[in-house]
Amino acid sequence: MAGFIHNRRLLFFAALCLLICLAALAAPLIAPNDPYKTSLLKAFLPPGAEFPLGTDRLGRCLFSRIIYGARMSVFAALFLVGVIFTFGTAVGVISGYVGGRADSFIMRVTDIFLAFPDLVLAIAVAGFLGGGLTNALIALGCVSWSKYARLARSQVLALKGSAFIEAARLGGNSPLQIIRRHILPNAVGPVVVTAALDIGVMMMGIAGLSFLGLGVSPPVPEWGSMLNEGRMYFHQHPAQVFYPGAAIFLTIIVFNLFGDSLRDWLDPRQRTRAVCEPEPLAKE
Amino acid sequence: MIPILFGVTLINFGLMYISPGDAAERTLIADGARVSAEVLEARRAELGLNRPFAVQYFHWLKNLARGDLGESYATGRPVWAVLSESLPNTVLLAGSAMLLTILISIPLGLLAAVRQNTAVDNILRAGSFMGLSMPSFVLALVLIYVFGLKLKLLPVVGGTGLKGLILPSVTLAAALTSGFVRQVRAAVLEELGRGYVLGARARGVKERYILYFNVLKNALLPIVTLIGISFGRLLGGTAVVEIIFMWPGLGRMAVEAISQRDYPVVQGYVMWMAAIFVAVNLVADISYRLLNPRVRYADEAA
Repeated sequence: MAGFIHNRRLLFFAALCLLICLAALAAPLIAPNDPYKTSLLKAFLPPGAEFPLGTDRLGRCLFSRIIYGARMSVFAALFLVGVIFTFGTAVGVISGYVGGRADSFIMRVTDIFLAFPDLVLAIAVAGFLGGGLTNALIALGCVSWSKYARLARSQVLALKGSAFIEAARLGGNSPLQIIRRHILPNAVGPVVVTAALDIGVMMMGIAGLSFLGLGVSPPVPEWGSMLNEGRMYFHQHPAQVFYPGAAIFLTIIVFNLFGDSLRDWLDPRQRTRAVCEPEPLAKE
Repeated sequence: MIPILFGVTLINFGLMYISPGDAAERTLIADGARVSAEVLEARRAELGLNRPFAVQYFHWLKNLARGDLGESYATGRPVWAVLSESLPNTVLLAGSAMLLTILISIPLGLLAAVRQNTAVDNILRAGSFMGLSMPSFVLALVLIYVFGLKLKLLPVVGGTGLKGLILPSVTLAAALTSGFVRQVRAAVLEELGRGYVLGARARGVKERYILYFNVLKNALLPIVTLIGISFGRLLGGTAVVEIIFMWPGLGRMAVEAISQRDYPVVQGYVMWMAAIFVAVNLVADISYRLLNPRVRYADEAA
């Protein structure tokens, strides 16, 4: 962990991410107004003392809505990445360690999920099960877990034949102990990097589905749905779109820079690999 | 490939099966009639909705094999007709975005690799980083604001002509180009480090010749696969851009079908997109084998 403290770039972006999370948590303290309070008389006000960024079409405070919106984007994305990271890694590690028929079956299943272009499966899930944040998260989760499973599996396969695993087995460790003590700590690095870089991707996914009306439903403040509401009044009131747009863009940039520095720290050889670019389908 | 498509049908049908409401309800309500429980039950029996899951699934699969995806709840038209109407527009949009991406990213990637760690390289790297962090809907709105509303150069929305194609293609190409530039740069750098480049330089072959005829040719091999996979993804990822620019393509149609709960259309869309995606990947795979003598000879030897 000592390297973490000395890596200034990584530390800086980790702090920025933490700051965004704290701001989202402390939304009720920071936001000057109630994000749900409508007042048609105050619609489309320019920025002023009462409303720092002005108001939207229903007279709600834009600034407060953006601050509250951070909760949705940031925490939903973190939660989602946490879940698919855990699930995908577990599936991949078990699949790789057990091997044989179970392994080929699990890999077949990941093949099926990889046969959908990302947004199409998300549209299918959200379309059949209805909109809402939960379904949007299920949709995005379905699309992305298989990537983790494949990555974790390939890590395990690379480790499985090593002498130290053999030694642990001969030493009388149970498979579960070997996985927990010896395989996981050595296999998890690249998967963690993928997860860090996925936070921004998931933020984009959640905002995108909300933008399409398949994610968070109004009146809950969320950046994607704010953009969708605002774009109808874009012509006369570009601020309606620019503030939430800038909020998404800057937040994703900060989290991507964090993921990028984390990768450089954990795996300096892979500097040239693209951020966010989905892994090409694994070939065997 | 066949098991994959089979799994896709299972997921697709399963999602439809567990979705709230059923076809009997939907079609009757679409007719605008108030329905009693008996009428509903009769319609269910008529449509075969009271049979077990497996029976329904195989019935659906049998129809699918004949290309019959059912009829739209909203309009009553065959789903394949609805889909084939919008498909060309999506292919046109994705194709022009892909073309734009290739035209921009290969020269830029090459430039970044040749000028490695210079200001040019750093600017390109920062640019591609921003491009990857910019959601397409934000970029689309910014482009509409600048080119449509402020400069008044291009139509804001609508228009299927060449002018209407520019902004949506640029939006789609932006994120893709950002990823491609990095990949091309990495591929070129890898080739530049190989022995044959050193050998050619030692023999006095012109640097420009090495770059264009040896390095680029070899570096483009992995890019071909990338183009194939990205094109498949692009076809499935146009929904947001199509909606913003009112482009009459598949994605917009699917999202509209969702808002009308027109499940057969959504189902048909998912089936088509998955089939196209798998097919495009297969073509990319085959062309990679054809283009790469190393893989080809290894296959023939095996």
